[in-house]
Amino acid sequence: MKKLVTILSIVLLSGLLWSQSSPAEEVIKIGVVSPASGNYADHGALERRGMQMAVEELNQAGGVLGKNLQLVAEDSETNPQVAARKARRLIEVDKVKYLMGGVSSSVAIAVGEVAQRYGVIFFATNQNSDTVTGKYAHRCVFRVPPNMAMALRALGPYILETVGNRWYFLTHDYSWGWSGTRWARNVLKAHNGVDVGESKVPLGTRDFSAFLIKARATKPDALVITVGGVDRAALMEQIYEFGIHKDMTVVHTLYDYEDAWAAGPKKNVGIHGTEWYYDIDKPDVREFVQKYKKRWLGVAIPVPTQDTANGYLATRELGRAIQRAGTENVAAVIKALEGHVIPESESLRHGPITIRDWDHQFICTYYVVRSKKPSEIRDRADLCEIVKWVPGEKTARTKAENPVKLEPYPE
Amino acid sequence: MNSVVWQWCRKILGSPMFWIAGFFAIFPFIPYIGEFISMGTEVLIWCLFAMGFNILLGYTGLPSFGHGAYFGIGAYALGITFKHLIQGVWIPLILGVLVGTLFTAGVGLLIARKRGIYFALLTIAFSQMFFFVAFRWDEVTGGETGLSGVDRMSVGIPSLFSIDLSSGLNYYYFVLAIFAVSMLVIWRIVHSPFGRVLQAIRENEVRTKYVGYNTTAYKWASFTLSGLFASLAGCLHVLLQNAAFPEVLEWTKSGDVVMMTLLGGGMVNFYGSILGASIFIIFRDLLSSFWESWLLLYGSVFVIIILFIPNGILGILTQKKGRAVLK
Repeated sequence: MKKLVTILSIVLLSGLLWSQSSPAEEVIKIGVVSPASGNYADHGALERRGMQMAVEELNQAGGVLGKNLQLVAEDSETNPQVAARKARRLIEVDKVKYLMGGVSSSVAIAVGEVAQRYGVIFFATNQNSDTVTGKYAHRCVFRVPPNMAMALRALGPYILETVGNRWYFLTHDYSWGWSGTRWARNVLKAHNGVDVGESKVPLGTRDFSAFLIKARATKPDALVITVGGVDRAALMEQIYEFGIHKDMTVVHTLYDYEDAWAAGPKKNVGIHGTEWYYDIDKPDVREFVQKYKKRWLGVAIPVPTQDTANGYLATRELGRAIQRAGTENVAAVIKALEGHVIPESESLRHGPITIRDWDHQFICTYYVVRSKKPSEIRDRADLCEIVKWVPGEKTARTKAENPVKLEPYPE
Repeated sequence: MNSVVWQWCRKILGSPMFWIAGFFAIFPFIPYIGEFISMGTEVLIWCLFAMGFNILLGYTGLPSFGHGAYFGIGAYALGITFKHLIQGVWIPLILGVLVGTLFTAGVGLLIARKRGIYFALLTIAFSQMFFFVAFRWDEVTGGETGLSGVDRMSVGIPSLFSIDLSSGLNYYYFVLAIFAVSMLVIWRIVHSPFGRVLQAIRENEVRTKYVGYNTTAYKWASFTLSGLFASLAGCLHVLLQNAAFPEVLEWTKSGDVVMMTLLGGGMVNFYGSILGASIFIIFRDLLSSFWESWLLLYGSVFVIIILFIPNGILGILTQKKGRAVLK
């Protein structure tokens, strides 16, 4: 019995010593809840690189309110419960007032819930579910990437014009997949297109042959795919092996650079919608890509992706908002963020970004890209070509479509 | 000094239960670590889950790899009750535990006849079934995005006193009270004649049957009881994070509670599951903050433990000659 007590106290005391932080300096801490293990570990690493770049830039320019910014990163394991626990720890122990992090909408909703209750700011950096700025929108939560409504309203009309109006849907069988197909159907219906069928793909599917044969039999113009993660990597392989891309145009509604990189130039086919692409022809993007290459020499993916850009923007805008507010007070910083417009010269994309005040969605441009043929590419990283870009103002849900009422400002 | 009172005092002071509850009672006032109060709450909840689970694994010898399902069902039942039926603390809590226990009892009826690997596989199959229901039934469970917005309200007697559970510290003590009572109840259960029969089933089911016990009924009861504590823990957890998510029902996450029980030495000591759960949660949480590739170290530690101290941490301390047996 005594031994038990001894062991318990040793364990807890060692925890105490282990987690003893360095003496308080004048820093502003930003808590990062981002996956370092699990399905999306690579996405997590990419977004943390962007955040780190922004912090270093701001600190070199003299910091924020005369203090340096500091990132405190925790592994979310892409699991909402773990993420919520890490968020609580960052708030309770590390006393952070600002959180950010991404990948997986359920993680964003769990951390958003914690942030709202403790009255700290949370930037959702890589989630596309409509609910993050819809049903589960909070006063303290900001979302950087576009949602599925913005994605499909930008991509859909282009596919109708250039490819055709007979669409077959391949849907990941859960909330995110459904919302992609739902918005695609909306666009298709509005333009009197033909919905030739749909296959729902269970999460964790590795063999897509039955779905692909069924799709081919309906002779669609476009195969509209809302399937993500590791499953998509397998799907891209099989589309190529079956030669599906010769019979119809492959369309990924939300195309992640990481998956295309994994598939390689040969198996990367079709026309897709994407948040961001490193080859956007703008001085600020070129500079950002150069900085990334210099700062992160020798990492697995040699160019920044949408995750990196989102992490960078969120951190930079948070720092600047604290500077504008002139105080670290959460309510004041929220007010400084709401309605703020990031000018085109530094939005890292075409057009400015508006941080909408009533649902806290970043209203930004969405891109349509075409996969390059192996004969067209310059180097291993050069996978796509931008064919169109659509400003977010035209595609984002209106207040009538998304009746959100945010909570009052935290004290 | 009255000798009866003296004996009682000795008995209480000599019981690890008193010291465990006492330690957790002063935990919030320990400098530095006490600040992380919600971690304390989480440790208590997982201890409760592991203790209940150990009725099944340690005492009855039935390996269930899908117990996260009953944790999750309890959590969702509370969440759905709160969001759609009635707000409060006690009624959703009781309903949550009731629904979780009923589901366990139902599944138990179907699998209580099995043992060993067949039993283990069926528990996984059922947990996956419940996981997919929770993951895909958006209208009711919220699907992937979960069920959030479950507030902690106040408990108390109207017009006499009320405790606001939305404060982290108050909720910690609320969970501690439930944990302490459950610990006593579970201790009582496994040390009763009923508990002896469970241990007999673990040692030799056929022989127990020949002695005249209906082993299927006992196994079912053990399964249901552990499901009761699992759903109680699930309910407390949903109140802690104000939300329920489907991940916890997945069978990979159900492995966590098995690991906790084995790690601490739940197979040889009643308190092993408590120690295991505490270490599991704290070690994992701290380790993952210090190194991105923490899973490498984490996995190695478990391999070492399974290879060299298969009886778990308390197994080393209580090891005697011959095979260690949980009593």
